[in-house]
Amino acid sequence: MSCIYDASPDPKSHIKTLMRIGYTMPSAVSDILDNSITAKAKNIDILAPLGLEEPSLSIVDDGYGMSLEELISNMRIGCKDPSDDRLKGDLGRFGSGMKTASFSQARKLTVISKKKGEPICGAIWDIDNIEKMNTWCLEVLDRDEVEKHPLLAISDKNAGTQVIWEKLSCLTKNDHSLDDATVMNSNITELKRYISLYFHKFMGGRKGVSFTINKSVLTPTDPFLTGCNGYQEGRGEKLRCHGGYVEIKTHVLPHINKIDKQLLDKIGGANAIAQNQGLYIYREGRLINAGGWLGLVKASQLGALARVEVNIPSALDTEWATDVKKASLQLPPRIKKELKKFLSDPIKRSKRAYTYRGKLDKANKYWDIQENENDKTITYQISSENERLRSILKELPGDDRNKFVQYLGELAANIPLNHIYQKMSEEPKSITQGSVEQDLMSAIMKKYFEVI
Amino acid sequence: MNTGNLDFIVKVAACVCGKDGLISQVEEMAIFSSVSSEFPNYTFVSFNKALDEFFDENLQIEDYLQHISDHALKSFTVQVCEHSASADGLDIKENIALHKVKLVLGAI
Repeated sequence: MSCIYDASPDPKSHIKTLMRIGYTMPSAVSDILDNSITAKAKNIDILAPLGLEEPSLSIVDDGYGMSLEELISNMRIGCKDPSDDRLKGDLGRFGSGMKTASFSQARKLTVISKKKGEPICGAIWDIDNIEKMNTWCLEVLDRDEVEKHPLLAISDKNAGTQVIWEKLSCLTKNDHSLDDATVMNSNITELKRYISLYFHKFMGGRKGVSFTINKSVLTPTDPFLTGCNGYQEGRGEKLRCHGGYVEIKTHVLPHINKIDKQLLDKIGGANAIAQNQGLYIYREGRLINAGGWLGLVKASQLGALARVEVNIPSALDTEWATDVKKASLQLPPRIKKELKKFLSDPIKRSKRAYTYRGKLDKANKYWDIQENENDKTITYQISSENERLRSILKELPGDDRNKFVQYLGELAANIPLNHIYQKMSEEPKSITQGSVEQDLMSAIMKKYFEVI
Repeated sequence: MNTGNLDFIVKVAACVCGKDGLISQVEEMAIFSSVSSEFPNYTFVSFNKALDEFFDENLQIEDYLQHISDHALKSFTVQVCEHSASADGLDIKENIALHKVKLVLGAI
């Protein structure tokens, strides 16, 4: 007869697995920020003082905070059932994010929290202790220890939570690595860019959340450049489903030449415009997927300006296969089908914005002026509509026709524009073109035909 | 009119339109306008509540249809389903569901 054995994972080995779940530093910090937003924080400060002998990173919020019992429960890995429905605005899912994200970046996680009407409390996961004792030994601090914590940044008067990472493994270096401060500085720069994009919907406005990194306020990065001249809003759709609505909106970015240089740099430069085309999927307002068509269509240079925004409620997590990091997901087949209806329009508009050659003016019956608004260029071209040119071309045999057209092209490409500009500016009356036709004829006759 | 019956009609229409669990806004508005034009007392709040219940329930179209016994309501149900499902183009899955509604309600 079969029997049941307790085959619980060995804490010492299990913690090593949890440390390698695949977070980057920005995605790990973002997982902590999700909890702050769920706790209705209005101010979230990330503190990573540079130049310390023992670097640390703190995320401090003024959300609801936790009582000691809630803190101990939330420090447990997998403290929530992923299949439970989450309230609207709850960015959590597995009840593991804070711990796994922290363990991926630091060997010591301290959480200090204060809930209204409750005393300040704190608890520590120290991987060194877990490995040494081979047990899940959560250290719960007494009030005195919390208040004397050297990195304490919340007061015992206002509600809030502080997550502290120490013994940073994200700074672990080999012999050829840069120093801690340089690595940290580079991480912080990337973190600013990441948060400004992934949490942009929470920033700004009266009800917005203020994010700071080392006291520097972050500004939102709108991936659709909606406030930029030349932005086009396409069609959208709201689909009702379990837990709310799936909202689809289509956007076409302005042509690259219409984007302010500073803004272009903020979104990653000209290359990023093409690389980041595709689907922008938001879960409860938090960006999960920034670009890429997830196999629905092929990326192309002409579709570079196309963006499709998809907003989903957290109730659809199971169907969208959201992972622990909330950094990736899979499109359910039924959504793929719906989305396909929306892809052609922004891609077509993007192509139009790219291939638009600008307006064509006729200078006279011999010359056209082509103004390209995208490239901000003007081209003077010999008019193909000229009746005499058309009749000459009709009479010429094939080879000669090609040579003649090629010659006209070279003629147009080699107008002495600089000289004309200079003379038109300095002494415009000295330019006389009235007799050029006669002069040209004489010169040709003399040079070629009389000699023959 | 008992709004409970109207809720069942809304849920049947939701089954027809909500192929794979998604109902477009056009279809949603078409269901509400069909029901409220015939029954002006049926509010948008009641309609929303019925749709929320529909998404929380795990019932089949037949489970809802068995509550519609009145002859006039049966033909009205078919009418609502036809109007709403064709609001943004009737696809094959909706068509099968609509066919089932008509069969069960004796419309064909």
